[in-house]
Amino acid sequence: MIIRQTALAAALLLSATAHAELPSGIKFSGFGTIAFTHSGEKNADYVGSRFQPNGAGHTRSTDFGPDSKLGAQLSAQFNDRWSGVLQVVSQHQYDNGYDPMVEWANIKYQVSPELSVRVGRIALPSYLISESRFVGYANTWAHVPTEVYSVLSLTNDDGIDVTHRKSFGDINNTFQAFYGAAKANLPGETKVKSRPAWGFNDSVEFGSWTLRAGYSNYTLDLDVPSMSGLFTLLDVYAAGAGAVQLPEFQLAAQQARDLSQKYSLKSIKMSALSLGLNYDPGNWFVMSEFVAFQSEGFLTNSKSWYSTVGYRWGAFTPFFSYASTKADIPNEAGITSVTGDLTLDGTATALSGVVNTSLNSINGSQATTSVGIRWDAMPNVAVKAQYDRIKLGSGSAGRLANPQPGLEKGGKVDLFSVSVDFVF
Amino acid sequence: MKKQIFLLGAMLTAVSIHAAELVVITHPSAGAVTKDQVADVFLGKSQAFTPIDQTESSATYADFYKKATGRDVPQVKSTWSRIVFSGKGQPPRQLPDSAAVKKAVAADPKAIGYIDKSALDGSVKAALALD
Repeated sequence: MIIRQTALAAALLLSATAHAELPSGIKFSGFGTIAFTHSGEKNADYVGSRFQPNGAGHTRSTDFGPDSKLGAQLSAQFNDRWSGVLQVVSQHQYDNGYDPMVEWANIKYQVSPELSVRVGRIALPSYLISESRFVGYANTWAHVPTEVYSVLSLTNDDGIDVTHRKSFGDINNTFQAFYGAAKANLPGETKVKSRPAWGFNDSVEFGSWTLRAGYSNYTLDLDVPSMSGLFTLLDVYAAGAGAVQLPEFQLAAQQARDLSQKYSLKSIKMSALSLGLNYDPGNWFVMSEFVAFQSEGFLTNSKSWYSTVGYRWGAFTPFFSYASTKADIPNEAGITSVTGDLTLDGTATALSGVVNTSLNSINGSQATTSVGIRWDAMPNVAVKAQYDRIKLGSGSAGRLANPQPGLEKGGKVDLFSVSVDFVF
Repeated sequence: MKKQIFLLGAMLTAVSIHAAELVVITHPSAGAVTKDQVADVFLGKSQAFTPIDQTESSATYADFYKKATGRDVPQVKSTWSRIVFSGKGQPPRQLPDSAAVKKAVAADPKAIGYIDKSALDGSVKAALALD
């Protein structure tokens, strides 16, 4: 927290003097998005990321929060080999506030023209545009496709990464590997930590093509207050059933202990394989990404992808996009052993129900069809309008937050977004 | 009215003449470059050369990017904003005119720039004609 505040103070101070007198080699720049999102679904919230506690729909029919952002960046080139970057971003966060967070703070050492090493807080390279996912101006959409970009929600880690860039004729190849630890706060006092987080990826650029493949691996510790009751109850149940020396009671106790372990929120192993493609010859483009996610416990496996096609017509870029995420949610049998004890059996049924409800609520399936237009209205300013039709997965609230009892699961949601993106 | 039409005609002519006479320049000691390499360097995909731009608001800038990369100015800005806000690099240094670019390229074996063909002389190498 102190680091955050110091960095913020430094960034603000520097921004005040930025244009006046920055030493040569230090550059100040910034980006922002002012966006309004309207959802036609009153019984749940559309959110821009898992980190937002509420959004458009239930909490406010039209909301500034999901997609608006402000970022400031200081880049320093100390000499031929050493450089550094500090990026601070303000956006709607877990605590319903907009406190700026230090997104990146790292030092880079250029070992050779091909090889560089960075140490500090670094962008997690999960996707094709993971490093510019907050920079609306750099992207065509009013918001990144949530089906894919909310799969790996963590955006930075504290650690080290190595980048190797090499040209083979007209082909430019970039290989990157990282190792570090990540942490973040989510709504509901939920905390997530990954120790370690590591991965690697390779990008190949030739002519108008960019192809990317990446792998990342996390060992997560989750602190979810709303789920602590479940684990307490499983323990109590296991102790109660285990005290009776009869086979069906012993089996029930063991099943409760197994559930507790299987869905433990500690040391959850998860990994993701991602593929990306971009073809951009100039007057039109196609961009597509796929991510196969695997995880233990409540996070469940999923497969997600999107494809976007855009046509550039002067200052206007109309685009069409389709995105889908499908979670492979197992039906947990839970505690099946019938003891004949009414209290124990009732508790067993309730516990199994809670486990299945939780499984279904964390990684909902959904698909979105989007049409929109980006208008490059002025140098450094883009105006966008986008319409999304979200189809929630059958029996699911999809990626919507705060689902209310009146929400039609598996229904359709209309979303309208307008935004102004700028860089300076 | 006549004057305005004449002026418009003159501007169009100026633009088309201008458009026909761009040349990519490197240091005399530099090897050959292809159009794809030029595009890669000026769009931040390759660090084989140190690119030098003319000012963003100039017709030369727009003309160069259209011919060398097939991209309009907003697309070029968007591409560079992606690189800048990835912490991966900074856009090329911008110099005010062809004379300044030529001087900078003549002084740096790794530099690459683009100028009006009329400004070309022996201090730099004409690496690629764009038309």
